[in-house]
Amino acid sequence: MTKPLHLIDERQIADAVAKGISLIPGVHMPNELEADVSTVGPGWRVWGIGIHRVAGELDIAIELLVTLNKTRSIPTISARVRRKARAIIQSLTTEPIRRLNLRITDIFIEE
Amino acid sequence: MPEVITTTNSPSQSTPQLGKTTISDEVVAQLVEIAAKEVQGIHSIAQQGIGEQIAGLTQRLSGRWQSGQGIAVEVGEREVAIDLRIIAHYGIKVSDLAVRLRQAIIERIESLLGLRVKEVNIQVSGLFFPENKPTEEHSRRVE
Repeated sequence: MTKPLHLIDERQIADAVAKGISLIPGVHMPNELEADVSTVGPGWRVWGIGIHRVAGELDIAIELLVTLNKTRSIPTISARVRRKARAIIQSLTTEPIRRLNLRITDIFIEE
Repeated sequence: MPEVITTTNSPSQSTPQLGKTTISDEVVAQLVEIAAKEVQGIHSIAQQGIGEQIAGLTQRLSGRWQSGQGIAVEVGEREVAIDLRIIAHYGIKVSDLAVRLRQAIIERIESLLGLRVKEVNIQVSGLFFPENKPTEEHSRRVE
């Protein structure tokens, strides 16, 4: 059962999204030296995930490092990340997602 | 429905339901460098001039990627334009080299990033003469 909105804090969402999308082949989350955005609270910080609440909706920014090869391009990876992140968030809260932006900050090429 | 691919500096025209995917300019330049180095006849990417080195100092100090100084990219929502300066091996026909280089870059960018390459401007900034390498005999004046 989906929890009411007020019980879901940003940390839960950020942690779940970071862990979930890290499992996608070719996706790496940035560390503190590589990330420009993070979600932060007292004593914790999740790098690479930005969460803002705008008029009762979620505005999500995700930074990624990706490994590309002949079958794995940025459009395919970003579509998978978007689907996965959306599914994770919707499993945690009924709050609508206003925007889910991805930013590819670095790439690795796998031959 | 195709997603919108754009850069940070582009005007925001995201599809609200999907959001936008942003590819940093450094990523595009990095891919251009990788593609260029795989082309036979390319010795290296040309280094920056003094003025550009000073201008790029802040970026190099704060940035993660420090290569590709001879590469400039302009990334739009759907297209990318590339300028690069190379050092070519002496003896290679430059026009053929430019064709192969352009093809390699276009193939890489379009297949991996999903962006259309509008133009690839190549400037051959120098030639590399392998025989000009100092030999051990010449480099040592004394033993």
